[in-house]
Amino acid sequence: MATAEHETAPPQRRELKISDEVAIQLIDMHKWYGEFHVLKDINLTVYRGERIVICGPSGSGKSTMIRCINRLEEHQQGQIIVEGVELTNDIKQIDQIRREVGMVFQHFNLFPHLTVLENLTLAPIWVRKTPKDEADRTAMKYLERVKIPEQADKFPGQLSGGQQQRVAIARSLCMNPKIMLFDEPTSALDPEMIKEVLDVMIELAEEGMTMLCVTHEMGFARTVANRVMFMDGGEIIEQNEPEEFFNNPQSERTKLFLSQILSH
Amino acid sequence: MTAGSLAAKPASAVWYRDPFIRSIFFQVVALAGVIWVGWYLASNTIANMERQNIASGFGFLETTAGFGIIQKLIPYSETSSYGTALIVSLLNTILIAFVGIILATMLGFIIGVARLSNNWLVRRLATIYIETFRNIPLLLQIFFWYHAVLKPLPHPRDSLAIFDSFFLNNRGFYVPSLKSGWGTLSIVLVFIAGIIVTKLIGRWAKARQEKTGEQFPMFAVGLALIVGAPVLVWLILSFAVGYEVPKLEGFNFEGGVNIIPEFLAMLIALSVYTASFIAEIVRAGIQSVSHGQTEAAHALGLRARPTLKLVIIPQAMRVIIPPLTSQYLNLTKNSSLATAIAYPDLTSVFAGTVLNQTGQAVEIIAITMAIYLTISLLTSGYMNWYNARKALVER
Amino acid sequence: MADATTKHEPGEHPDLPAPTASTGIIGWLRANLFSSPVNSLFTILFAALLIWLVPKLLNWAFFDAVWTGSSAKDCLTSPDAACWAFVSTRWSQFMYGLFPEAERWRPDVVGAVLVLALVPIMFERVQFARLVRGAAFVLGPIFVVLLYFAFAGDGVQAWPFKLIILSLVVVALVAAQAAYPRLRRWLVGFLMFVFPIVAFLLLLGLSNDAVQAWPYWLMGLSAVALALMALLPRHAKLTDWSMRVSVALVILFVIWGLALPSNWTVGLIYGVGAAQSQGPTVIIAIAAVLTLLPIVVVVALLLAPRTRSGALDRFVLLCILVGILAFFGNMLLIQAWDPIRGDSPPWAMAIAPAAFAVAALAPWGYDRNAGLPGRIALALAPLYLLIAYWVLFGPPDFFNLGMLDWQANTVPFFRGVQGVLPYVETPLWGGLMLTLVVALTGIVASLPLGIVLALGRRSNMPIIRTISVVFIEFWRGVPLITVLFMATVMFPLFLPEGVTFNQLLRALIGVALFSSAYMAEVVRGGLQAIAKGQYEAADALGLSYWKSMRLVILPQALKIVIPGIVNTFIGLFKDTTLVGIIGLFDLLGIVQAGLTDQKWLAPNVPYTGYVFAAFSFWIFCYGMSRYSQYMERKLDTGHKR
Repeated sequence: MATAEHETAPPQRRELKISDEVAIQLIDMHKWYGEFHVLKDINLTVYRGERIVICGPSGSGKSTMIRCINRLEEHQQGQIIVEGVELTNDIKQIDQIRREVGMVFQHFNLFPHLTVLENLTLAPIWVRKTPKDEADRTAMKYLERVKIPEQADKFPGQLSGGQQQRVAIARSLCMNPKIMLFDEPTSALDPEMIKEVLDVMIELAEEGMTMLCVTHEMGFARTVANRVMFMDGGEIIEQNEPEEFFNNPQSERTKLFLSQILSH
Repeated sequence: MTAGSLAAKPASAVWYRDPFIRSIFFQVVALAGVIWVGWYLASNTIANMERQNIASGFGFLETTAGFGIIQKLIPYSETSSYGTALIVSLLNTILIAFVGIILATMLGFIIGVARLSNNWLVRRLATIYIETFRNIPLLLQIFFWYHAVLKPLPHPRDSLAIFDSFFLNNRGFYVPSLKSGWGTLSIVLVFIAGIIVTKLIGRWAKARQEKTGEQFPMFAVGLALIVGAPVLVWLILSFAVGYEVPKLEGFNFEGGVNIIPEFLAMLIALSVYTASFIAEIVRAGIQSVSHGQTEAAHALGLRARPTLKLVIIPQAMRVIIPPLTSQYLNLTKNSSLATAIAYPDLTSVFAGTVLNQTGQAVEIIAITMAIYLTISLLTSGYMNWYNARKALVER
Repeated sequence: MADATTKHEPGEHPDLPAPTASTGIIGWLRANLFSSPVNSLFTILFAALLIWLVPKLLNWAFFDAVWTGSSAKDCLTSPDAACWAFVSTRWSQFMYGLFPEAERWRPDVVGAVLVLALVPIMFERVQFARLVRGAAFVLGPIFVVLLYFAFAGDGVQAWPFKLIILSLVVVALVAAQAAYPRLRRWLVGFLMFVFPIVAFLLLLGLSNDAVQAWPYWLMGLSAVALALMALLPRHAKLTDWSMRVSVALVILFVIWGLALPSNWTVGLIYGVGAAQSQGPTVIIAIAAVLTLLPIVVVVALLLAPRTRSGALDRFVLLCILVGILAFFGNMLLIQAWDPIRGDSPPWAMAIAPAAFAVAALAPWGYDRNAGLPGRIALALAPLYLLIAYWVLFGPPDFFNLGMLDWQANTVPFFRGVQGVLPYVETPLWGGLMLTLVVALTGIVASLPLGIVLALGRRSNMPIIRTISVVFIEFWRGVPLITVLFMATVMFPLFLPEGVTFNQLLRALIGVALFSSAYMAEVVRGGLQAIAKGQYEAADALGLSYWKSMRLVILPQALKIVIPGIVNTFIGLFKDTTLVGIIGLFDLLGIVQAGLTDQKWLAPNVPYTGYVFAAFSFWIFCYGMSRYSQYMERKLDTGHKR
């Protein structure tokens, strides 16, 4: 298993610079689905350059929380401020935030009717109004970074899961985002493909990207994250530096969750 | 038992168990059966026709028809030939099918989208529309519009008048026509020119966007050129040249254009009925695009309109087009129900009146079926080509 | 008081009710009706439209409508509303057409049997408690309404009670089906093979021609049954419905085979006295034993509980053998005794026993070691019988054996039957009954044909495939109305001189051919949806083509295409209205015909008539489409599991 592989590797945490500028701020945020209280009083401040791994049992609200950050879900109470812009019903502000925030989905969500290159250039051309040549060049640059430039003219359906997910990451990067959200990016992948995606994410982290990552890849959390967060029942139960979090969990629920996830 | 004993006895295949021979046998039997049935029917038919003195051959197409047709797109009179009647009636079929397809598509798309509206009331009403009209036989709907709605309308003398220039009565719908013949023609020309210019501008806009990234409101401009310009020309012409308004002369109207009630009934029934199917196709097509696609587009910063245009519609159309084409085909085939209310379409005129007059059942049914079959095969050929071209590339 | 602003320890935060703006009625209204200005506008617009329209419609259909009356005059009392009097006075016509009033119990019985057999099949494994609860909820109010109607008019009406009894029996059958799953298969077999024959016999009754020709029908049926039996897989069990049906038909064959030529057996059945006057007692006794033996045995077998199947099969076959033996034995006895028979050519006398021998030996082809030739021999057995008959009695007056005078003996019996079931010629059929006859015949006939065509289209034999494709694409490419025209004007030309069949049969053939092409495409969709692995697995198990189709592929494919079949049926049901164009009076046709009645010339009558017809069709089509959706959902979850 990939998790095990990361754990047996010697600790190679790189100290990365974290600025004191705030990237994301969630203040007293609540969300309901109908009558169901999914997110309860979330308070979170993310600084530029932070790499936060969010874990927790399914249904704990972790995906919902990061989906609120780029307004794929609407929150009902409290504030969300991203890069100094508060999320309201104003379309302009939503647009502005979505341009700054990239997102990678569990099921890739590539556009199957467009080639890989077209997937990458779609948003730059139509949102940023980039000329096509320039958009193509940028796209190729990112494809090279995720190490699949040769697949540019293929359709997503022709790629493996790992390749698709790397295209999805490149697609987000083409918009030049300041923050990247990852929603379980590796959980739909076969074990042998997880590493190639994680490698890309690690590289991204090393470049100083602000990242919020919902994942169960604890190896990734140990090597890359500067903060690990545990959510359960719609609340942030505990957050800490990875060493502390894994070696000395405070809450009973965290201990139970960690024992379950690390036992296999 | 020696080791070689197994190999020593060669397996002899019983001939009648050989799949190859069996397959040949079955095919020969099937072919023989089909040929026999064909021969049997043909020989009976020939014998019957000889006995009943039924003429054969296609010579009748040149004989004088001797009956009138109430709606004709090309010159036709009682002295024209059966062949001309065939073409006139075929054109009538094509006309009703063409106009019906356009109306049904517009209505169907609107209702299909309404079916997915986030407004509960709109959604409900769209559902009611669909469930009502697709579960009532088309023929019944045609009868309803014709016998219950259009035929009981008042006589021309007491027509329902709209602005004193549109008249609705039991002889049809009378609309004003432009006074000069070239007026209508020029509107058509402007319409065609609009399409061409839109295409050209579209090409220019695409090139410019690729170069500079600058976007162009292509939809609005196209709409203005294709719909707006002809309307404008029409308005100008109607002020400049004026109309020929239908006028009551004796018992009937003179001038203007008359849309016969048979056509109206067929048109309403066909488009309302087919629209209910198209709406379901459109709904299914849009729903087939997973929600993840919308989310991904939104996450990339695309707004609702461009998301629809660039992500949802191109994918939905792949799902929509094949069943949509077959609905178009159904509409065309269903237009043959015109015979029930005597709208002069192919079936009604050719397989009806002409058949009764000449009695040449075999030739006439064969021609009629061949025409519909040709339309069907061409359409499905196109569909296969489209599917092959647009199929999503998968691993 | 916990609210969203109070701070809590991590993990201790309680579930709070959502802000009222997003839940409850207000939340619902906001989300569903007034989520944006445009939406609010639409809501107001359409709500206004409804408020304007709905009262008008209600007034038209109910409050202002004319409910009783006997002519247009009554309708004109309220010309802007429906005139249901038109429908109620013509109700029986709309249902049965011109079917004679005294005979209307026949379509009623057919309809009731159809409902009884169909409803239990439609719903799989309904839990009993749920069923009872559902039935109480749905049927209770309906019963109340029905009872109201029963006592509303002058005197007590019978039909509401019939409906109540019918629905109670249906519920009971559904419950029985839940408890005894085999019932379902029986009912399917009954509906596909027995019901159509019974229904047509019951509806048509016995014409004079049929009385004359019934032996032909019987011989034909028996031959088909025997051939079917022969082609059944070797390990078919008596418990299979198809086997039972075949056996039952063979019994019929034997009975009538015996009854036909022999005055004694006729006497035996219709009165010993008549027989005694005609022959020696010993011969009568032997004939009687030979006649009754197979019947008794096979009936006993059919009633017997299931035992080890293999033994049972042999036993059944033995019985059939004895039956055939009895048949010929009886005939030979007649020959020996009857002096006039003596003038048959000697070679005829020789061929009859030879054919008998072949027929008698053929069942051993059923033995697993006999293989294909034995089965072919068995399949040909009825042919031998026919040949034997032919040779013995001569072709033109097949059964008209002067010296035996079977007609004189049997015709009275059938005249008696004719008294109960007089012939009702098809031009009298009409209304909803005809609509259902056309649609159901179309679907029942098109299903087997469609399956064969679908298999043919997927066959890897090029000629078979080409034939299937051409057939399917031809019928799919032309409108039904041209098919019906063809059936009307060209079928008579196709047939040899002197052979005709009536308009209804022509329309039925046209409809069956037309819908079989659509059915073929539906079934093909199902065949394609079956994973390739299933075909491979069947091959790997060593199943032959037909076995793998019958046992593995078709059961799965047909199950997943049930929604498709129902949808085809809905289309067919709506298309039956087209038979009106070629002069048959289906529901729409008869309503349309009623509208031209001078007695009912009022402006509101056409609306009323069409709305009634539309509503009738709508009920059926909507019900079926809901069922199809229900099946789709059910099959969907079944697949995911």
